[in-house]
Amino acid sequence: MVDMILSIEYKKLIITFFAHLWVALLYGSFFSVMASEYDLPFIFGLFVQVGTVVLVTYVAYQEEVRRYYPFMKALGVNFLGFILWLGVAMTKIYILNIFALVVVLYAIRYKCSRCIEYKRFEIG
Amino acid sequence: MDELEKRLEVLFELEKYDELLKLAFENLHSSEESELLLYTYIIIAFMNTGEYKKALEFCQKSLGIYPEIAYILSLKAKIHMQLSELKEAKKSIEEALQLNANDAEYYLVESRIYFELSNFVEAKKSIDRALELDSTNLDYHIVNAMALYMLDGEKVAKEIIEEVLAKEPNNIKALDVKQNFFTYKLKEKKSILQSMLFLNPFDKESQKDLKFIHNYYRYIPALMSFTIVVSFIFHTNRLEFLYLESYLPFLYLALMLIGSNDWRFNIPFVAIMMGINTYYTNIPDGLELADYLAIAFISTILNFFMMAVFPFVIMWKNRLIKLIKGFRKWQK
Repeated sequence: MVDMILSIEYKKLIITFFAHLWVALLYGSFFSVMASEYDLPFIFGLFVQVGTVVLVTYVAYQEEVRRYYPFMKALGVNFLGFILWLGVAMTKIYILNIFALVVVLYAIRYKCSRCIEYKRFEIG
Repeated sequence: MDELEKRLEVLFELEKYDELLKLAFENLHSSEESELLLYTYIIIAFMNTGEYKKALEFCQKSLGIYPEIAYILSLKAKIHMQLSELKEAKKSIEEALQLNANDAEYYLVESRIYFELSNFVEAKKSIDRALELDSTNLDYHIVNAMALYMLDGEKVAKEIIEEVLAKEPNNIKALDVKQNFFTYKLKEKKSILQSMLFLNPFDKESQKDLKFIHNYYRYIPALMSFTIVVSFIFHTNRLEFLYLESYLPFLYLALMLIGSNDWRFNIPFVAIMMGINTYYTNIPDGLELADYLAIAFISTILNFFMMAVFPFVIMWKNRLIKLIKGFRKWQK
């Protein structure tokens, strides 16, 4: 556990957090609104919102430490999230947002042509 | 033939390029067997003496006779790189790699060209190929670390440099990279620079950096005090300078941008300015000794805070520059 905490790259974590904060808040706030629609307590909605942000940041961080994460990809992910969110809003089947979030998470994990791995070699 | 080869080799090792060139020109057209070797020595001698135009001329001549020699093409790429003709350099090294795709050195040259072109993804791909072919050369690992650093893989890059230094503690390139990119403490930087100068006492860059650190410790307290005094005068007579107040954020921004060339230098000043401003918005009436001390305290705290935050500012600035460059390229 201590090793895991020590191995966290905080600089990257902060960058990742802010890079995906917009899309995470978009879906998180939507889920918390949905929770309040079902008459669930306020604190539950709050947890859902925070949970979404944590989930998105975690997935993005895992990706960031493994490979190069271009700035344009972060923009693309946020834009895709927004477009999907708009699409779901137009269909008015709001539960589809869960699938939209899954698509966004897969987009974060998508290996683009510039997403080169942080590969290292043993010194021979 | 053998004797000529040996003489050339000795002259090359002794760095006597004038004599080497004289000998090579004398024997250039004597036999077809040694012609390619002589051309190679001539090109390298001209490169080492900094006469790249002449080296390029002989490259063209030798390629006219031997068009399919990959080594000459790689030398041509290196010369173009030195002349900042990066497109031609890329073309030459691609031709060399088409002829011989199993030489790690060519991939290293290709990687360096991509570095110059600021295309770090392709630079990383090239150096990966070089390392797949030969992982014993420490230079390749250092270039790999640099590529990783440019692609935000700072942690892995640092580990690689540490490994290289564990293997070869006096590797001057690794020491240089470490002090430039992976050392944030000035005292540690200083000790690395000192050991670098011990290995190569005439390295001007290291001398300059060491002098900067020395001067930093020497003059910064005086400069900080001077800034406090100037700010004090400015704020005690602030009604006269009131029209300047709205420009202060721009001043901070300008200082930050100037500071990003060497961010350590401007932090204390920005901190002091911000400290005074923060203080004045809270207590606008008069300024006594206690207030003056409070300003110094706030400035010190802000200084440490900004020391931590400033690398992020630089990083985002670099990213923005990269984005603008990419946009311009796309426009073209």
